[in-house]
Amino acid sequence: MSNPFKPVSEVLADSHKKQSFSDIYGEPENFLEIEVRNPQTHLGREQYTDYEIVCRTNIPAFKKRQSKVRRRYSDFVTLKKILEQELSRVVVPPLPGKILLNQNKFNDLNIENRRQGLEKFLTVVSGHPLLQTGSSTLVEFIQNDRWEPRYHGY
Amino acid sequence: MPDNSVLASSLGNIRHQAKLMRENLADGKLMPALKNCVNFLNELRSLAFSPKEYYELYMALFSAYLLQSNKLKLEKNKNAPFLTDLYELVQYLGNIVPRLYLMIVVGTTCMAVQSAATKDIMKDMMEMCRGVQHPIRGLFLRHYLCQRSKDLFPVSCMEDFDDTVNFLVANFVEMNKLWVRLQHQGHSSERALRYQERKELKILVGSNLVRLSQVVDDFSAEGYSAADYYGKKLFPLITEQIIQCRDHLAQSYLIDVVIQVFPDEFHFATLGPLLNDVFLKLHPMLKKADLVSALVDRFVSYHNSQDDLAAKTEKLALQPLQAPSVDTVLGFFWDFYASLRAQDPALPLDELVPILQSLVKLLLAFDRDNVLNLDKIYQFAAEDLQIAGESDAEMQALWTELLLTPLQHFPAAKSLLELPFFFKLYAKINDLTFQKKLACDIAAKLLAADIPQVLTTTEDIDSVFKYLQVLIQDSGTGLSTSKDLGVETTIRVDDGASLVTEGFLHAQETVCKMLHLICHDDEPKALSNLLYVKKKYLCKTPRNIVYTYPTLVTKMSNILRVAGYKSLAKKKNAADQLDLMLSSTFKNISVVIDELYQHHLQFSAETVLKLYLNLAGVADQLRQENIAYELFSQCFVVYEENLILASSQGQAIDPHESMGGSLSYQAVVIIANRLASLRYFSKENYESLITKVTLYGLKLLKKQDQCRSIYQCAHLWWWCDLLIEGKSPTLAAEIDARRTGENATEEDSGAEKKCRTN
Repeated sequence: MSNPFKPVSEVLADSHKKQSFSDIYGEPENFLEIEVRNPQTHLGREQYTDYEIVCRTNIPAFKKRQSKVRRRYSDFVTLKKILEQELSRVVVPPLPGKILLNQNKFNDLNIENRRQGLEKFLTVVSGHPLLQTGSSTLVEFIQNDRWEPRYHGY
Repeated sequence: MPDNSVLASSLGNIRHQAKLMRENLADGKLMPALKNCVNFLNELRSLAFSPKEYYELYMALFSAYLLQSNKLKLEKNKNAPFLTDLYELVQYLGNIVPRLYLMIVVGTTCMAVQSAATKDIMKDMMEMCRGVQHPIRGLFLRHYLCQRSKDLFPVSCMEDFDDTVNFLVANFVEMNKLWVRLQHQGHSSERALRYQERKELKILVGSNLVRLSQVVDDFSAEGYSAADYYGKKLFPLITEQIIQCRDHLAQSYLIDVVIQVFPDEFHFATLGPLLNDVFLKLHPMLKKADLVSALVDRFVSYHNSQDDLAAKTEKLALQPLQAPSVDTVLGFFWDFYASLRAQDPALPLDELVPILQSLVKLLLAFDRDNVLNLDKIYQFAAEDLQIAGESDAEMQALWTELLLTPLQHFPAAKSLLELPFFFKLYAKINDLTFQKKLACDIAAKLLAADIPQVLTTTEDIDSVFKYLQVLIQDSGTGLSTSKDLGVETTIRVDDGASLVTEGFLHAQETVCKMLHLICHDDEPKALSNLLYVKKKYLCKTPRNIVYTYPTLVTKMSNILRVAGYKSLAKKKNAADQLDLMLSSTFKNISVVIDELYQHHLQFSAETVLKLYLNLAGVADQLRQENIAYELFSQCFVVYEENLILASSQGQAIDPHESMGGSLSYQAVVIIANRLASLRYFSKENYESLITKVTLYGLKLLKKQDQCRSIYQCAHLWWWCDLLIEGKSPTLAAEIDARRTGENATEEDSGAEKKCRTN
């Protein structure tokens, strides 16, 4: 003989409170989109490639809802170091590897691979709740046009 | 990436597992069968499919699955506790999607066998389904729940019924939530794709409302009224969700579903709140006009079906459903319209006009014979709406429809035209071209009416011709080279050459057609009506009378002929006043012709000549010899003043040249023909006329014209008529007739001799 059947809400404590309409129908509060795109190689004495980082979000930790900045690979390296210093408990994912031979550096295929790697890295890092709230550098890196890592004393 | 191979392999897997399941079920092995079930349900966990593919998958499953549930039902029919145990058992399944599907199968089977726990199970299923928040999967899961349980709801008592409704409403709310949330799913660059997917999925959400409507409509209990229940309980619940979701697609679709699926009585019961609470709170970008029109269509078809029903059941004395009165319904719509205007004063016309149009439609259906309400609408439109100067084609179409739709409905379209505000709205249109087009359309409607829209009094005439005024007054020189390249005719009027367009000619033609609507059983009255039109409208623009007067004169002549015959028939005892009437009318008509002649003597002399001749013919038939003689004299004046030299004026285009002969030759022939058909002339008068016309013929410029006109005229001298009845004064002297015949032959041969010598 089985126990009389009870619906789940009667078994569990009544922790389920009524949702408001904006909860039900509104945009989710954790909307975050990061894109790394549009690599550009700058010629000059020091030749380098930078990438555009486009961010759309409604997470309050980010200051702007939409932003667009340009960063180069070495900036990402700096960011990773800072993050590791700031929050030692969080495992920061690896960056795409360095390009070994100088003559390959500005090869289109390599740049595209690197772009994908950077995007993956940044998506993971920016989506991490601890990093979002715990690190001021992350938001600055993604959204501030004049990001100067040395300015923060590193 | 989802592609066909993935879908195909999934479908293959489902088929395979379904086969295994069937075998196991055949062997009575329930647990392995459940295992197979879970295996194929796992396919539904995939994220890789678009809604369409997912639906395909779902349908494949659904059919395979039906078997399982039937089996369950059959086997366990007697053993309800076993089912609840099974229900608990499936909760231990690892993956949530298959678990919930399986739960629904077992749960609905429980509902089918009517165990005590039915309602608890319903509640539990509803709550457990919250576990899937992925929009597409969640929607299908809940759709499945709704489909499976559709005939199994407990509705035996009011309490059960309440629970059932709550169950369905909760399902609707949850599905709507998932559906609305789907738009936020995925990357922002895929918004368009999401929108498309949501459109494909909408029917799943809508089917809930269909189910609700069935349940509410089918249930019956003491003291229960479906419409009341809907208005008090269901309507607020549903519409609150629709309003609060603030989503354009959801609102437009769901309101439409609400309008379509619930019965008409429900809508009558909730019309006020629906319009004034719900519609006004919807998304500001949402086109309320579409919703209003859907609602109105619904009411109109309801009304029509009620009419049919009433016609059929008249003998049965059935009490028809109580619909609120027109005034109440209209009142709600008016309130809605007013609040809409107040809420958003900048609402564009293409939103407001369709709403008014819907109202017009509603009125025409419900309150066919009362034009006063219509006038209210037009008053509103005339006073409230700003009609743009250069309205675009689309707006013009809207206005046209607003103004013209009612015209078709009324057997007496005139009553509509008499509405003061209808005219006001019409007059407010300041785009002349558009107004002209409208005037033509109105006229066309009147002309095409089944019942001839005759105008018998001056009031009637005024009520119609005020709309046509624009056609009469406009000069018609509005020729734009880009638009009217297809100019058909070049018409020269006395002040010089002027071009007119095809549209202008069409407008004049319309006016002429409208003239034919003016009539009266009493001929003198008809004649005075026509004169009234001439005096009040037509003569206002002398340039255009060349198009309208010929019609007018011809019509008047015809009426006069009829009137004259009537008076001839009773001449014996009738007084002279009939004669007086005739002569005064002849005089009036010739004044009209003369007016035309004065304005257009240069280029339309031939028309004038023909009109005079025609009138002279009528005068002869009515034995008014003096009048006829005078009219012929008028003809000769016209001929001498303007036609005699027509051939020498070197007109660039002479339309008669190809038929042989100049314009003046043709004029002589026309006069001669008319003379030949005279019946009641005295000899002296007749001879003076034919001599004159023969002389004209002699004086033509070209030799061949002279010859031909002379032998045409020659016939006039031996004219005899076999068809005449009674004694004709012209036939009185038969010897004379023979003599004139000889004369004519002499003259004829003389003329030919002359030709030869030349």
